[in-house]
Amino acid sequence: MSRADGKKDMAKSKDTAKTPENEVPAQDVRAADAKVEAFYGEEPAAKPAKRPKVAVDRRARVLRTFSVGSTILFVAIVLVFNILFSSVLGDVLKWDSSQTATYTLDDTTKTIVQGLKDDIRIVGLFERASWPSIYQNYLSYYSVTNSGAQVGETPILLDSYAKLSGGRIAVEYVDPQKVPGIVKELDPDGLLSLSSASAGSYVVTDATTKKSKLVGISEMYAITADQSSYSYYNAGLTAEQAFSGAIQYVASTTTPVVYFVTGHGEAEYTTAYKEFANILKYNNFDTKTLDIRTVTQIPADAAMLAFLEPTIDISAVQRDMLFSYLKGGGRMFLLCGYNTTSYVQFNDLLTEFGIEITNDRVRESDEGLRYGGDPYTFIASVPTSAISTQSYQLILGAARRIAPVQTSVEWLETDKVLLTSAGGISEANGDANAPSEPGAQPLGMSAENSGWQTDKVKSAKVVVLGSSTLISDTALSMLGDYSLYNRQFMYYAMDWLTDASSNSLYIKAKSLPTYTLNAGGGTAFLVTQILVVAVIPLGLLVAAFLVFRRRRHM
Amino acid sequence: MKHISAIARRDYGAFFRSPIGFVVLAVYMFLNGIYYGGEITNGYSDISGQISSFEWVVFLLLIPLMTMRIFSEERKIGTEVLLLTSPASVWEIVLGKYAAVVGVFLTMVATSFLFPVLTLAFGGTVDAQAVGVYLGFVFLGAAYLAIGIFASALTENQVIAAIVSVATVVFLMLIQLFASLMGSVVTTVLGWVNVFGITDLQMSNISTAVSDGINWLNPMTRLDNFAKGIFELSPIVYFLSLAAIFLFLTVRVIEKRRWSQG
Repeated sequence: MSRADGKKDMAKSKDTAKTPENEVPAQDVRAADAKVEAFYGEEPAAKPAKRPKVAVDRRARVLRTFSVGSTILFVAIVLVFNILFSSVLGDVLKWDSSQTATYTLDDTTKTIVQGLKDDIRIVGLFERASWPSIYQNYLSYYSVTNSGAQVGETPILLDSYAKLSGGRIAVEYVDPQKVPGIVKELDPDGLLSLSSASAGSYVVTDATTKKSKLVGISEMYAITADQSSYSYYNAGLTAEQAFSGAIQYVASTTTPVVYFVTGHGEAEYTTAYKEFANILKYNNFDTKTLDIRTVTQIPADAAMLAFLEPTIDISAVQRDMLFSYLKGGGRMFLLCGYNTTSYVQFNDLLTEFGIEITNDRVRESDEGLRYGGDPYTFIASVPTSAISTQSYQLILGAARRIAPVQTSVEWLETDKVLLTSAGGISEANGDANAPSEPGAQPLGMSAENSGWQTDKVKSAKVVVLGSSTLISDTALSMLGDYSLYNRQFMYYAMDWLTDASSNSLYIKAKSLPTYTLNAGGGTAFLVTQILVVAVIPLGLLVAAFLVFRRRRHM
Repeated sequence: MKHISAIARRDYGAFFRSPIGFVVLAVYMFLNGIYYGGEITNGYSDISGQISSFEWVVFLLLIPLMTMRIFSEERKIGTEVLLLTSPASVWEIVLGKYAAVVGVFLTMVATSFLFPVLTLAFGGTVDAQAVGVYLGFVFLGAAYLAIGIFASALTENQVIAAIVSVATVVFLMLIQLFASLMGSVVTTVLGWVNVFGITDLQMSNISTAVSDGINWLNPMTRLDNFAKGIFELSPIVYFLSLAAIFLFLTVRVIEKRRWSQG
């Protein structure tokens, strides 16, 4: 279109605009004319001046450059600030807000970690980001009803270890699928069987002592059963116990051995008492089996001998061997629940410790203390004693009375460490028709004999417990919350028996947060449900509708 | 400040003079109600779990719904010019509108305080973790609101603004997948051109560093820690930074339009 055509068009449009209803004021028409003249110029007019256009382009370019530049600069500043903030203050300005202080390390752990002299490497055999799915899969395996999924992430707990150690502990995550060499690197001799380790396992290693330990996911959570609903649930978090124990184990230069005695029909600790063995491992003990029928003396590295449910009494020769061992400052743990075996030789040996293993079966007459209504499975009391500074309760079953033997020797200290309630009844030789008078029946005894103690020889210690179900894996998996108390009892018992830092090594399992409602009930809950699901949302929708109606007419 | 306050008051009021404000509240309360109703049936109430369980619905659905009209409607009905020619600067306009929408969001969150109150009345527990989750939710919500405002400033079509907002939030939510993918890509590439004799372990560490670096930008991962019982300030600083960046971008977009209109 030529400039002349353009002018004609503009004039035509001006004519069209001159209608009565939309007549344009004269000054506006003149202004429009001036604009048209300025745009097209007079015929033949000079070319439109380019100067203003150049100025606009330059200004636009400057603005664009400023806009892009300032945006990049602003984003960069914000990014750098965030990186610096996270790296400098990120760990400082971080708090454990969980209800049960899940990620706050126990004082015992602090002592262990802050006292480290070696560098500890903790390697998770998986990618850190995959932890939630590993954890969920583990819980699914047991059909756990309370996941506690939002708390208790082991990787976060281990961050606390690394932070506390001041660089001594390094935590890393390596997926063996992607780095197959890591298995050989961490476990060159194949002792830890890493290739078959469960998902979510960690390896704790100390390059100085060359010791390493595998911590499996099953050691991080106390999965137990709820008898009322016949379902499993997560009773607490035991990861801190497992890792602190593992760190202590790998960092120590000596590792005393607990021998599980075999040859008398004892239970196999690797299959029936894994939890108990773990307690010992956390206390920096190695565990081995020992058939005392095949040896003439107890190995010198034996920190303790453990008899788990022997169904046959020891021989006289073995009794003498054990006596020699105990005289030399030995330690012995005997777990003998009720069965038909009479322990004549054992009792002969235990006379030196003021303890007798009776043949009496124990039951509870107080129905309120029975577990599942069974008089032979009941809640027992742990009084304050040599092995416990506080009293609490736990559950056991198939119990045998462990009686004190009257003695007045001053070098012997005995304690009842486990009792029934005042309603406990012992049945002579397991005969339900021959009950004793109700009373607090002793179910476990500890004894320390310092009669043979010298500068070089420690005192001899013995713990005898009259219930096998106290700490067996099967029992622990069925005892619900009480399993934590059973564990605690055994931990302290082993602590005392082995002189393991005078009770200082026990790290309590952390319970999961509880969000149970303790008030209200059926009707109150129903009314609340109706209120929050229907009344309030519908009320708001009605308000929306009213607003809509009012606005529609505006 | 006077201008910011005036714009904020006007926009906040406008929100509840239209049905959308009440609809947003109704949806939010309904979602909360369903969750809470289900929990108390079992005699149980975990407030932090409640907030965490459907925060993604809020981020993906309600926030775009709240922000889509902020600037696009002004453009569509032609009142943007009035706003831009008012004595308020662009920053004041953006901050005023942002304050208004944050106010609406806080009102929405405040309505859900009914549930902790009910929980306490029923003898339940509202712990520090729940407070942390609430704070994390509010600050990340504030960041996503800024993203929504930015999207609204880009177009005069509210639907497109909502789609852009949702797409951006989805992208941020999927960073974890992207990070993991990039980690694998780095491992593969290093495996091909391994001229420096990098070991498998070193490759794994590089891959982890790359994916961690990318995932560092992921707001949802940072929010997760609040739900796990960790309260930290660095995610909050990050959420505020994210909001600042998108508000800055919004200002730039409006400035550009203002200048290009001559």
